[in-house]
Amino acid sequence: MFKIYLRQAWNLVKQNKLFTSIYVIGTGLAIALTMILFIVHYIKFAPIYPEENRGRTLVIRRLTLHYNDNRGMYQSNCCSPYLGKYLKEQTRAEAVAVFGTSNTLSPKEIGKPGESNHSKGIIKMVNADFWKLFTFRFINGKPFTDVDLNSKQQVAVIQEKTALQLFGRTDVAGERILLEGKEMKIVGVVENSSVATPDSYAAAWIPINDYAKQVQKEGFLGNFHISLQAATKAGVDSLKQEVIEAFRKYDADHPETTHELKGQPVENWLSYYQHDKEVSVKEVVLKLLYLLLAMLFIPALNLSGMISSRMDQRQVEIGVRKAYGASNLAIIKQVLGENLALTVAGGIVGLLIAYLIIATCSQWILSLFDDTDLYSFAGISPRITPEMLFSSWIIGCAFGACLLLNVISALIPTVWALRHSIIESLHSKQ
Amino acid sequence: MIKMIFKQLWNQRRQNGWILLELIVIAFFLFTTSAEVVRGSIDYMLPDGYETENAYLIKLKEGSKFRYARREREIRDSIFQSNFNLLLLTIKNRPEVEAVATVRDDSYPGSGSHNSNGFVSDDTASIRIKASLYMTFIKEGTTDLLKVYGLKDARTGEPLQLAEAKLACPQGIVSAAFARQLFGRTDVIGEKVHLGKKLPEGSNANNYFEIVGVYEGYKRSNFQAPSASTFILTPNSYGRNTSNHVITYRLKKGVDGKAFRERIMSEIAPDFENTPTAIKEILSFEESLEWFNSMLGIYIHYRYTAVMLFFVLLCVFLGMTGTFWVRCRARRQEIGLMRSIGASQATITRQFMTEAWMLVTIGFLIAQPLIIHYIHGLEWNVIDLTAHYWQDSKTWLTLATDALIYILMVLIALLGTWFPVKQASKDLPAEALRDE
Repeated sequence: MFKIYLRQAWNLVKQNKLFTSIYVIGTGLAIALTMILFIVHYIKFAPIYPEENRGRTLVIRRLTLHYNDNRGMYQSNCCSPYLGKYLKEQTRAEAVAVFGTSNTLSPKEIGKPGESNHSKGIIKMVNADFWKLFTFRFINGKPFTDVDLNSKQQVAVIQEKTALQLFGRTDVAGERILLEGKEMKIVGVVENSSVATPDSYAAAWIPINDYAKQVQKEGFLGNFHISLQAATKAGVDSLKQEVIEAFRKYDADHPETTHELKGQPVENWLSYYQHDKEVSVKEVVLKLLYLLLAMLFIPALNLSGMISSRMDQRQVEIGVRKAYGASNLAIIKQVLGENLALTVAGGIVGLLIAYLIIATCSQWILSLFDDTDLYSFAGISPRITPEMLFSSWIIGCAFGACLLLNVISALIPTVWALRHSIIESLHSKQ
Repeated sequence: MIKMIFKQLWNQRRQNGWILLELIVIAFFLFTTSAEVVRGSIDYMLPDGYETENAYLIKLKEGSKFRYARREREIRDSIFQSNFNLLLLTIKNRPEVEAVATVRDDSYPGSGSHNSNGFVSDDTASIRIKASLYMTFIKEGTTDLLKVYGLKDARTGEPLQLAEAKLACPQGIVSAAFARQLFGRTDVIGEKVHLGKKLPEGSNANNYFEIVGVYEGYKRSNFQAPSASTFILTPNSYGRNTSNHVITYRLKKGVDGKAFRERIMSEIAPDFENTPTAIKEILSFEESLEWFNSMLGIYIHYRYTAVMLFFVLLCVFLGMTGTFWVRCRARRQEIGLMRSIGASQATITRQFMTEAWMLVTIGFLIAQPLIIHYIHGLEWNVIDLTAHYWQDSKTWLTLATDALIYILMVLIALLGTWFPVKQASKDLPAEALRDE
């Protein structure tokens, strides 16, 4: 039966080339934009190298410190490294990564000692747990440890690309490197990551130099971001409670100040939407649904209008089919099947367009839903890997979008067309 | 003709219903996407209040060797002051440089920091306004802020000149919006302004200044409206923190800014590398604004709107083309009949185009209650320091955005209709009537 629908659809394509072109372009456009929306969010949320533990990661991005004697308050987009140490002691987190924030990042000079030619890249200060939370694959050497941090060792881990640029090879553990004018020893080389995973990305990573510093009068305010990893996905909620409790305990011991967490720590995916204020899951889902609705609903109305007009032209055909015993359900299935063939064709075109746009415009398209554009300003293009584009989730979502578009655009016009009796349908041309 | 077209639209209400529904959704969606961008664009068109061409700023940092050396506070301060003055003079005495000014780190275009304060006048202490507070430090006996920034006199539009101040009185210049809000006029030179509140006579606190100039305005970002603001001209350094001090300079006409920047980095910067005033980076005013706009995500917002605008307008185009193509096919006989009784191609095209225009207009009007509901519920991000420009009014902004999206929708709809109608009206009457 499906073969017959396909043959019928092919005949209709040949008969109505302009209709088919408009239909396929309209569908392709809707699917392309929907898929761009999906892929951009997939890259942000999905477990992608080296942020494969996103599903069990909680993050703290910003803090507000209130002085309880009415001296006002301080707000910061970042935390002190000491908060990482404190939370490690107070919670059962498997790892508490502390790392430099994207707001303070700008490309710095990277070179070889004794050579004047320097390149530029992001240098990020991190703690030892950073290497536990982010699953970097080491090509050579190993990560630095808490011992290196506490003894203020001048060591660095670099990216494969940086090693190739400077030395022309990747087995460079033990070599010396100049990072912002400071000579350091390379202890490890990791596989390239992409700026599309901004928390972990850098050209070189160095130990936080004031990690041992105790908390100051600014409370836990500082210049770093903190991510906590629960042992399992199920442990995320209890870890959240432990963090809140740790803050409560600290504030109780220091009555002069109170930390405002604004709903944090939050799951990694939710943190992309929390800018200045607390955002609930419901708000985020509604915002995304609004976008998705606009991207699918507007073209669906378009297609519905066209299908409705075409169903008017096909009234006689429907009358004949009904006269020969076809049920309404069979006709609906036939029309939906024919349109699905066109929608899938449009969907494939749309998916290819989405891939093309993401591959060629990655510098700005990945930040389309962000609140800041600093990587793009720094001229760093995200490297798009096959892992980011060809996931079964993405293909499944594209097909799901086609199906949804097909049902919402073709169902109502078809049901309306079936309201006429056989006689009315057969006489509709007169 | 309009009455007849209304009848036509009503007779084909089922087919028109789809496109009408789409137009309503699109009008609403276009509005929600573009209202803030329309406002930002209007703000962008307001004069910046300063000249960015040939203007640069130098950010400082503590040299790493200096940073870790433990020294007494007084010694640190004195080393800082002497090094800072030396660097300032070195830059000022370069033949390429026209003027130099030292400002606080929140007082240059595109600074990520911002400071606002309450102000009262000397006579009418009951009026209290809130305004941006900027600061320029008078170093080596002078500040060339007016020359470096190119601030304009609010009354004449010419480069601002400072009036002579009373001896030993702190000085400040204020924006026209500041003067109007606090005094209700702009001829306020010689007036005294107090920060926060007016302290009793004889009080030792230095919390006031005398106005020695009124400038047109000053935008923190070129995408934001200028706020009520003031620059305080102070001989004191603001704290002893290196990062609080920024050196700004303007180059003489014809000097290559990039080449001069490289010369500073290679010839001057190494001498200050291990001092508390090491050069961190040099940015042009344009680059600084670019950074600020990137940080705030302003460009992202514009890109997002452009993508959405393109998407929905293409939808309108395809929708109109598709609908009118199908409709022209269905109305071939009608077109043939019209041609056979003497209607020209132009008449038929005009009739269909009028239909398209009426559809867009009806859809747009039906969307208005939704738009009004949306704009009323919007959390309006009006900076309370701005001088309340017309684009800050929800009513005016709604009208401006509505006008823009209406024009865009009509243009795209007419374009999408013209093509299929033109094709259909080319058919010979006999050919079109053959199906009859």
